[in-house]
Parts: sequence; C-alpha cells; structure tokens
Amino acid sequence: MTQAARVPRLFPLCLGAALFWAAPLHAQEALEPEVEALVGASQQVETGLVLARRQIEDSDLLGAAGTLERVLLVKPDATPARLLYAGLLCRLDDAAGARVELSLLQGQDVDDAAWADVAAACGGAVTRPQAEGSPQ
Amino acid sequence: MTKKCPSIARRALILTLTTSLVATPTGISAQPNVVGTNAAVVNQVEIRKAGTPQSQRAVLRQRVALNDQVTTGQASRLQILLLDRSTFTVGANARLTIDRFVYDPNRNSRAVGASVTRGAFRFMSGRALQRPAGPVSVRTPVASIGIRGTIFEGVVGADAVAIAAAQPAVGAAAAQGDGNTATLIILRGPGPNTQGDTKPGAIDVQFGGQAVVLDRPNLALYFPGAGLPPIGPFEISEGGLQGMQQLLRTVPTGFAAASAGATSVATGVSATGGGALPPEARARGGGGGSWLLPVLGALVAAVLAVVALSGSDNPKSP
Repeated sequence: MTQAARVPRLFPLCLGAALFWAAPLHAQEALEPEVEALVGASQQVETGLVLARRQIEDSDLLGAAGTLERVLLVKPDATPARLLYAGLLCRLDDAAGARVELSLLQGQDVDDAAWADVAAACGGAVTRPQAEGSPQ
Repeated sequence: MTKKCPSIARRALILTLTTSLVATPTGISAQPNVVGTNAAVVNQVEIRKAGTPQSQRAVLRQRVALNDQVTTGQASRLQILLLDRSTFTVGANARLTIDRFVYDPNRNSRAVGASVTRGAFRFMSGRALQRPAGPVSVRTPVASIGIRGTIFEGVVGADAVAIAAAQPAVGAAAAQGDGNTATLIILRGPGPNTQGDTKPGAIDVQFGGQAVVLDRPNLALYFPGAGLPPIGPFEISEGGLQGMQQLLRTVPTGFAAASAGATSVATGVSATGGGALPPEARARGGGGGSWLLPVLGALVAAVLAVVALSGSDNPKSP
C-alpha cells in the first residue's frame, strides 16, 4: 500500500486524535449544558418566563428567582417577569421584597391573569399597581 | 514501508497534537478551575484573571475561574451562575473574588467561599444536596457570613452607611460609619412561611470570635466599620430594601425617569449605585461558540497531517 493510499485511512484517525486531545481541555464546558441552558433561556423574556414557571412547578423556587433576576437584569421593562418575580418573593416569605418590586410598576396597566397569580401567592400583603389616570 | 509507517504515524500525531494545542483558545486552557459563568452582564464589568495584571471586559457566558477578581463600574451589574446553581449578583462599584469552590453532587460535596471588599452583593444558594455539605461562606472586611440554604444581600462601603443611616434602629450611629469598610448584611429568605418544599434559610454572621444568627427574612445587621461592634439585628425598612433593589437589580426605564431624585432621598442610596439606569451595554457571545474552536483546530490539524503525509509520498523524501 502506498502512502497516498493510506492518507484517506489516516484522515479520520488524525481527526479523532485531534478531537481526543482537544476534548479534555474543554470537558468542563461540555459537562455543563444545564448551566448553559439556564443562561441561554434567561436572555429572552418569553423563554425566561417558561423556564421560571417550570422551576416553580418543580419546587425550585431559588432557581426560579435566579432566572427571573437574570431576565430583569437584561430586560428591566419586562413587566410579566417582574410580576412573576414579586409573586415568587411572596412564596419565599419575602412580602416586603414583593412590595418593593410592585412599587416599580406603579402607573402601569397590569394584566389581570398575571395579577391573579401574584394575588394568589401574596394574599393581602400587596396591592395592585394602578394604571396612570385610573381611580385610586 | 513497514519502517516508514511508524515514522509517518508519529509525524502525523505530532503535527496533530501541536496544531490542536495551538488552536486551543488560551482563555479556556489558562483557567482550569472554572467555578461558574457570567449569566448576566450589565454595563461595565471587568474580570482580572488570577496572576495577571490586566483586567478584561466581562462578557456573557464567559467562564469565571477560581480567584478571578470581578470589578464593576458605575450603574453596572453582574450575575454569576456557579456550577452548583448558586447565583452571585454584584451591583455597581463592587469587587468580588470567588476563592473557594468544590462541588461534586455524586459525593454530596460542596464548599463555596467568596470575598467582597466593596459594593453590593446578593447570594442565592444553589441546588440542595441530600445532607449538609461543606461550608458556604462570604467574607467581608468586617465579618464572615456562613450560609445555610438561603438568599441574603450585603453592601460594603458608603452605600451601607447611607442605607443604614435611614434605618430607625441605626440612625445617628451610622453617620460615624467608615465609608470603606462599613457593612450592611440582610437575610432575604426563604422564611418560615415559605410555600412548597423549600426550606427556610439562615445566615451566621461571625466577627471577632462572636456570631449572630439571622433567621427571619429582612433581619439586618450593620457594622459601622472594621473592629466596631455591629448594630442589630433589626428589621430593615422597605426604604432600605428599595436601596438594595437599586444597587443590585434594575428598574423599568419609565420608572427611572419618573422617580429620579426622589428614590435616592427615600432609600439613602447614592447615585453611584445607578440602579435607575437601564442596561445599555450587554456584551455577549464571549464563550457561546467556544466549542467551535477545538473542532476547527482538530480539522485544521487533520488537514495539515494529510498534507504532510502527502508531501512525504515522495519516495526520496526522508
């Protein structure tokens, strides 16, 4: 067999060897797809809300709080995320923190369904933000 | 031919390995002790790798390694998601180093240590292990805080003095606080009335051979300075919580415009906290495609190996 004939056979061998060599240096990255997914989902409001709701359903309240805090750092105007976060703070027994978050929504028209979730979590510990111009 | 095979294989392997090494991104190979990743970056955040003199701008998804020093600028925020799913958020003008990290869920092992020398920070515990694991603690200039499955916040420096001064339980005493080392520590939850399976948390604040336990949401402890006895525990006011909110999180842009000025009076937080400013420079993409580099390196290595072997096809070549 000539060396030229061996080249096609050696190509996958070389590729495998190179990948084998490169992989350990990046193993820690590859081992953390869940962390990557958590970060990625939090960069958009919709995907962040989906993730946070799933975490709440799974009783991972601290994880959900971390997700919503990421969303709000990136998208501070995401009212649905702030409402969910306020309700979550109540679930974590931090009604005062929930009131602080809700105070940031004063003047905004808050969605009825989203508010129902907050009210369910917080009970009478919070008051609904009033839209600008609405009767107090 | 049989004599040339080992030579060819050796050359190919050496070429392959060398090229892979060259193609490996130095940012990763130089930081083997990864502890987490930048999960949210707002405005000016810099990270200085251990043993290097220069800081570099932090980017989203960038790996954070042991002993990296994080510094934030005005109106800036960073959330680090640690590998154990704990989160560390730092506010404006902060300095944080994660100097201990061990996490192995299979062995039920965890130990996290960090130090904050200035600015505001918030820690949330990560995934619960089956039985109590190693210590999780945060050091400040005045105290060490042992964490038991919880959310807590703190602020070191002038903003601590400002927020504490507005607290009835502290009042005038805070006015004598040291603008560099004064520290305010607040437990945020989960409290005893937490819903679901989440267990209440607590923190042990240790200083000068003593310890104070904070075990109810929004209990706070204020240290006017290094070596001075703490004031509290006391329940922090909602104005104080608003101050922390401004330092650590963000507010809607409309709210920022409407409330500028008024909030700083109510909360005592200085403008350097910059909480009212929206994030405007969210760098991203730092490590998102980093998997591509070794693969490209491998491909280049393989192609070069083939070229080298093709070149040696000349029977006269050595």
